[in-house]
Amino acid sequence: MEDGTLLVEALVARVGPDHVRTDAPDRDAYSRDLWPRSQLERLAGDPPTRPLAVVWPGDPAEVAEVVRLCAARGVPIVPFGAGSGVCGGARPDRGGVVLDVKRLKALRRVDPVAGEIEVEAGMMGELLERRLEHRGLTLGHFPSSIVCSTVGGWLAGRSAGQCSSRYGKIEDMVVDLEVVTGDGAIRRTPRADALGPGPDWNQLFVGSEGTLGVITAATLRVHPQPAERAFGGWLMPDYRAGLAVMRGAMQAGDRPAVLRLYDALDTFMVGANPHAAEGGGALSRLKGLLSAGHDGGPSRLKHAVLRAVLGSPALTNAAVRALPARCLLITVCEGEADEVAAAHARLERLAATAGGQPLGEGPGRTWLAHRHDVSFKQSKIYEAGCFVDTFEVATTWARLPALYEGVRRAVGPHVLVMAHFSHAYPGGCSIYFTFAGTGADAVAMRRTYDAAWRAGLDTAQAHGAVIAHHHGAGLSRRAHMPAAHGEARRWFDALKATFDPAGIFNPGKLFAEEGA
Amino acid sequence: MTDGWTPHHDGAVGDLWTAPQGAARVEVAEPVAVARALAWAADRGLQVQVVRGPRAPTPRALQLDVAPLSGLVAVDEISRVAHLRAGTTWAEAEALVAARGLTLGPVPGCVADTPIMASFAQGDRRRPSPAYGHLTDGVLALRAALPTGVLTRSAVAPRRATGPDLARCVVGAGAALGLAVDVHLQVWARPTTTVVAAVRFGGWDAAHDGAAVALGEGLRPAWWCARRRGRAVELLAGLWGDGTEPDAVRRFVEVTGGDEAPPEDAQAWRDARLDPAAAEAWWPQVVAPRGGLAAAAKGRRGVEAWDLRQAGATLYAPGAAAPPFERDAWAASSDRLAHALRAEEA
Ligand SMILES: Cc1cc2nc3c(=O)[nH]c(=O)nc-3n(C[C@H](O)[C@H](O)[C@H](O)COP(=O)(O)OP(=O)(O)OC[C@H]3O[C@@H](n4cnc5c(N)ncnc54)[C@H](O)[C@@H]3O)c2cc1C
Repeated sequence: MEDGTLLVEALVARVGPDHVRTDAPDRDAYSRDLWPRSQLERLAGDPPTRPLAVVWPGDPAEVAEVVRLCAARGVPIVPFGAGSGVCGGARPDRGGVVLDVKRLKALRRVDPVAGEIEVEAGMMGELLERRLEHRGLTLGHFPSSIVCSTVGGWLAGRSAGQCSSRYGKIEDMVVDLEVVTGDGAIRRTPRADALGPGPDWNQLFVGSEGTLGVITAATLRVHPQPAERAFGGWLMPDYRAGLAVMRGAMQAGDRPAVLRLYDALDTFMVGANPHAAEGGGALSRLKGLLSAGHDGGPSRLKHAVLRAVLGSPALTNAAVRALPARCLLITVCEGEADEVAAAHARLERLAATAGGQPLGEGPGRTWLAHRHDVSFKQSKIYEAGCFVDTFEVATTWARLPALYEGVRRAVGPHVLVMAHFSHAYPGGCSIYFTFAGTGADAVAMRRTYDAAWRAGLDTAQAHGAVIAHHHGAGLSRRAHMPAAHGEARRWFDALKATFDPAGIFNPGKLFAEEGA
Repeated sequence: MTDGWTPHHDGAVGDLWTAPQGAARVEVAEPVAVARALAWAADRGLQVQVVRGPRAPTPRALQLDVAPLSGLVAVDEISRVAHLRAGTTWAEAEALVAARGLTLGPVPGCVADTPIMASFAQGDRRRPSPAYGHLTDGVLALRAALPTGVLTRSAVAPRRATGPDLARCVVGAGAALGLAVDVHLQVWARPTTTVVAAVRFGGWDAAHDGAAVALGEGLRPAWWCARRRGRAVELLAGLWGDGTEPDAVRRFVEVTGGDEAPPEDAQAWRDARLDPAAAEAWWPQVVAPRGGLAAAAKGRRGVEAWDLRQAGATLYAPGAAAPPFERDAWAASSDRLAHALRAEEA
């Protein structure tokens, strides 16, 4: 460990003893992100790989120094935002140094006239929105994880917020980036609206998930706080009717902030279906088990029932088919009054044509009020000997129904599956699948979990869909990345050789390393 | 065939023509032929030029005649996505989708005869449209030929999070990292109404502010630009619609906050500005920040603002040549990237 000791000493000399940690609790805390499979590995008794050290540089110059020190020794660096990633992207599987950017948290510039801000990568999402709100502005980026994710993490993983149909995904908001590359240089990418030759560097660093460098800051587009909001809610006869409404709005050139369509089971789970009783008592009990029933209290029996229900996914999914096909569609239009009124009126017309039953403003308002109540009940479900996870895929409107049915069919034998459609564009939309399952023990659970993922992503690829819309690839989709990119992989390898010649940035992420 | 060419057959690329000083030319009808030709040129250290039809030889360059690689492969009418071969010109592409009641948005004359492949290679920004974006924006999938002789693939989807957007390697990088061979582009219902609005302001920055307010209010003209008119600056906008907004011009004038001016020559003026004959002599000159338009326009004769955004605008000067781009800090990275791509194969 001689080399490691020397490196740690050098890091301490550069960023100060308070900002380098090698003690076990910190190394443990930084040995995983929120990829649910890590939880299953832990339960199965596979210890995570701990980093050699965790480093918190205070400015881009210190980031550059850390990069130079590690590059000289060939020691891996895993850039780390808030660790809310759900794909294993921030896991230090090759050891090395975890470089936490959270001390880079300045809002360097706010220019309301140009509609731009320059912000450092370690800024937490919610803090940024609050500071912008103070100035009458919004980034318009509201991932469910806004309280526990950073600007750098969003950029590194091509994140999407709940209002992406209006404001775009994070890649649509980027004007330029400040990046520290493998030679320790602090570089600024050309502005997205600049004139000049060369590939589109912004879009090559966005989504690089820490494999090409450390993003230290970005210039992003911002907007005035919306003056008006209009909420809509409809119970659509089935999901296809709901999709027709979403497509109609986007292809008419409107940009509602939120278009969210729950499939029959998800509609039932959010409690919006007045006809839910038709679904039968067993499903009502399942809902209780998966949600409110896990807040505490004597739960052994509930755990056993949950395991029994999830242990027969084929049967449970078949029971779900008995649910009424009706699906909840929630819409939120925001912006200036005229635009909001016109977009909402169009939604009303489209929903009526498609046979939607109006539910008034209630569902939209409820959703908005609770949109960041992300579930922290995951570990309870694991304690019950079960698991939950999600994956999101995207395709064109024409292919969505086949993709939705196909993935459900493929995943159904392994796990209970439900979905919602969100993040709509003129050409298509994403589907967000949630699945839950169990197994006789942790090893069996992991087998089932892997089988569900494999079946889902294989099917998505067979339907010509992209295997990730906003969670990134990390480790969870790595096996499917070669098929997703084909020969375009060579561009990635060339980028890696250009910006990370020592191969230290987040090795083994996105694509498996050669020979691994 | 233009004088100077001699026909040849080459095992790697098939039939081609050569001329003195390392000039070569090949017609490509299939994506894989583009890949082979790029590899052939890279092996010989030749530049690659994308052309349509015969041209005089260019020393040390391979002319890739992409005319045979054109046409509409398919239209997905539900998703409104057109799958086009990249040798198709923008005018051809628009005519092909128009036959299905669809549009790519406004196709300015200056790019009408440019093959899609060349626009992507140049990172062409000569279709700045608030409603439809740049011509190279609405891409749902892009297949490329690499200088290593292979073809990439891509799922068709509006957005993705599977690593860097690798297809952007071929947008704006010439042929160094590859060329688009076919693309899936977003298309839209053809407008049923097209009107032109003209609004007069006291100066460049006031006109830009008016445009920015319109963007904030959700107005998205199909095209717009600002031109000098005596002491005033006029904002012209092409408003395309589906007939549901009968007062589009009035609303545009109100929202931008200027004085309505007769649109008179506006459409003809725009078309003349964007005439194919002007294509080579009509280039963006400088990007000015918001509030800095007047300063940037000062001293530039006949300048116009054509890409009005919240943060700034791009000034164009008819009759001016494309500015020689300075080699910036990223140029060396581009070179290294191209080199790394080749080295990998070796
Ligand atoms: C409950 C919950 C809800 C979620 N909801 C959403 C949602 O609505 N939308 C959405 O998009 N995502 C969502 N996510 C996923 C996650 O929040 C996003 O992927 C987020 O962008 C990760 O940000 P982070 O700062 O936590 O990054 P981390 O998890 O720390 O890192 C993610 C990846 O980015 C790299 N990285 C981080 N910072 C940098 C940097 N500065 N430079 C270079 N690379 C870097 C890491 O190496 C890693 O590969 C959710 C997650 C949870 C747990």
